[in-house]
This record gives sequence, structure tokens and C-alpha cells, in this order.
Amino acid sequence: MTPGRPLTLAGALLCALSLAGCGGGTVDEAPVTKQQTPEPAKAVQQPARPMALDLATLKKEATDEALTPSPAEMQSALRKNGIAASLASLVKKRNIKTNVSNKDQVAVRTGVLVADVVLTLKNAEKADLVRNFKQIAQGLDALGAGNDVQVTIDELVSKIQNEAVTRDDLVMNVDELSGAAIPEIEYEAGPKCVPLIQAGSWLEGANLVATAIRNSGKYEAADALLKQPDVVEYFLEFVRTDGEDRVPDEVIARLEQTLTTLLDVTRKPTLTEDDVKTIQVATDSVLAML
Amino acid sequence: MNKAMMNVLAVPTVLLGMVVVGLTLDSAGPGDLPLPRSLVSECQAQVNAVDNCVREKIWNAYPQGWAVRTISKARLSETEHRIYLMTFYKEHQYQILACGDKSMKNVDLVLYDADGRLVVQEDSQDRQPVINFQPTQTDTYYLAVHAMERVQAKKGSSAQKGTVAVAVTYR
Repeated sequence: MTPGRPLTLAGALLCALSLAGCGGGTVDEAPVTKQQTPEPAKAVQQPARPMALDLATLKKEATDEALTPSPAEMQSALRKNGIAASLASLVKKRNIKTNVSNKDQVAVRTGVLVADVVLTLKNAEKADLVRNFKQIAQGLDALGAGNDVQVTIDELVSKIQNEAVTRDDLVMNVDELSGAAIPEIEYEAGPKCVPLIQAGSWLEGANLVATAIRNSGKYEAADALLKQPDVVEYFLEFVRTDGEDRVPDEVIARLEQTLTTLLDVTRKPTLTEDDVKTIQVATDSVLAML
Repeated sequence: MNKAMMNVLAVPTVLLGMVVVGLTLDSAGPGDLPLPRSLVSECQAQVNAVDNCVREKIWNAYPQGWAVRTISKARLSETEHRIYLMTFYKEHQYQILACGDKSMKNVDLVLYDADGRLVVQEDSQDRQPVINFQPTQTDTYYLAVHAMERVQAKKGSSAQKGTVAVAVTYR
């Protein structure tokens, strides 16, 4: 932690909530009460088991924070399903910028860059990697992610530039950054930031997976790799702009259109060659605008 | 874990500690709300402890080919649960790891399929349960994290909830 960092009001509230939630040291320090008189013999108690939850409860209470597969997981799933293609080799050099005015778009762009970094980490040119990291840092800054993540990315960039870390070790660093640190930040730009960053990453991953399936001709793997209607529906909730009082954005409108198409496609019982093509073309149409 | 790896991991681990807690009271400015330092550090220690616990398990498994998708945290009082919706890929092996803080005596994990049928249940009597699972088809699943039992709280203690960190790893 940065010494002397001021406690903000939001931070104080977070901690106040945390304190209600944190089982503090007082619990651990509870003295053991000695029995003064022997207890009467009891029947041996079976340990309690978790209560069974019905589907309605599961649906009502479930949170989506762990729903979306990571880009690296998509690559791994591709291999497990018999497609040897490297998604990294399919990543296009788009030179995506994150200094745009619409915050939703900044989040989506940042997510796409995170996916590109994760997928190309092992073999990317140093300059490309550094440029992408800097764009991610700029995007997170624009979303109000705070200074700590900037410091961390700066340190990672410095290590890459000085070749002070192996690419294998970087994988673990970036997994942590993308899978734990970025989703846990409370962004000044609001709670939509995390889902929209995830949407950007997933969109890029889905585009590359669809491309790999088409290139390999192994359409029988499409169900296992692309049929994720719940993921699409989750993103759509945060992208839908109906009734919101804000300036319409061309990229976000296209993203909504794309996700609506993907939802229709991924809800089918089985994905066909045409469906994979639809997914590739629809995701391409958004990514090309970034 | 070897020393070199620990050094590499130091940056993100420190980052997450900052992200989760991100507070000190040393120089609160105008409009800031001060909280007693002892309470903040107590809370911080608990959060850091579950973070470190789950991270150590994750990083120790990387050499065996495991990778992490996400790490989440829940604050639960006794008998409370938290439910996560998760996408799992066919052919992947998944390991779901949880670490409860010291106030947790027993944490259990239960995995249900998309139709609400029980798939795997981990109900051992400890606060660091693990589920291993290999789906036969790509689908969404529900993971329920149950705070089954907590250590008896001292009378008058304000500690109502404990923290559980949950990580989804795959290979």
C-alpha cells in the first residue's frame, strides 16, 4: 500500500462495510470457555451439510463475476477440442486507442487490448506489448481505476523493456492483472466498467475462436467453443441503452446489435457452419470500428 | 515456490492488496471520513490472509499446467451462502479453490448444473475446500459457497461476517 494515501469517503464506506463483513481478530481471540460441570452424554452429531438450493434460488441469487472465460482459457479450450491454431497468430494489429470520450467504449477497447496482451504475451514484439500495456493503462486511467494499477502496469512495462522478467512469468502476472485485479477495482466511471471490459475481451476471443474454427473446418467443435448464451446475455444487460439519458454512441450501438445477433445464434441447439460465420462477421463488425 | 517466482508475483499481489483495501488513515483530507486504525488494519489483515491463501494455492499449481480465470471474494455470516454463475468448457479440468478467513470454521462448496441438479459437493469440515470437475459439455453451472460454521465470536463482538476468497482455475 502506498504510505500516506488518503482515506476517501468511498474508501471509508467500503471499509465500514468490510468491517461488518470481516471477521476480525476479536473472533480469533475468543477465549476457550472451560466446562465447569461435565455435560450429559449426547448422541454423536452428524456434521451439518449445506442445504440444497433449488433452481429458482440459484437463478435469483447468482452473480456473474466468474461467468466469463478468459481469453487464455479460450485458447486452451481450442486445443482441447482438437484445433491446433494459435489465437495469437490470428490477432490483428489494430493499434487500438483508448483515448476516446465515451467511457463505455473506453472499457470495451481496454478489454480487447487485455485479450490481445494475454494471447500474444509469449511471442509478441517488445514494442507491441509495451504499446498495448500503455493503452490499457490509459484506458483504466480514463475509467477512474486509481493510481495503484497504473503503478503496477508501469512496473510491468519497465520489466518488459529491461527484459527483467521471462515471458512465462509474465503470463502469471497478466493472469492476475486481468482475472483478479482489474475486475476488483471500483471504477469512478461506474459499475458497468468491469462487464464492458470483460465484454471487450470475450468479443475479441470469440472472434478469434470463430476464425480458427473456420480456418480448420472443424465446425463440430463450435458448440463446445462458442455456445455461451448466458455470457452474451450478461454483456447485453450492460450494453443496452434503451431509456438511458445519454448521447448514443455508434460503437456501443453496433456492439448491442452484435450481441443481440450472437444471443440468437448461441441459443440454437447446435451451431452450424453458417452460425460460426455469423459470429465471426458480427464480432468483426464491432472490432473493425475500434 | 521458488524465490524468483515470489519476486515476480510480488507486484500483482501487492496490487491486489491495494485494490481490495486501498486505504490508510495517515493523511485524510477534507471530506474524508476517518475510521479507527485498529479496525482498518484488522480488516486488512483478514482480507490479505485469504488473498494470500488462495494465491499460494494458485501459483503453486501453475507448474502443473493450471491457470487462473478469476478470483472473487464474498463476505458471509454463518449459514449464509453466495452463488456464482460460471461457464465451463467441455474437456477442460477445473479446480475451484476457496479459502475462508480465520473466523471461518467450515466452508463448503456445491456445484449445480444449469438445471439445478447437484453435480459435485465438497462438504469436508474445513475452511479451505476444493472441487475438481471435468464437464462433459460446455455449459453454465452454479457454484454455491456456504459458510457452514464460524468460530464462536467473543460476546459483544461486531464481527458479523467472515471473508471467503474463491478462485476458478483450469487446465
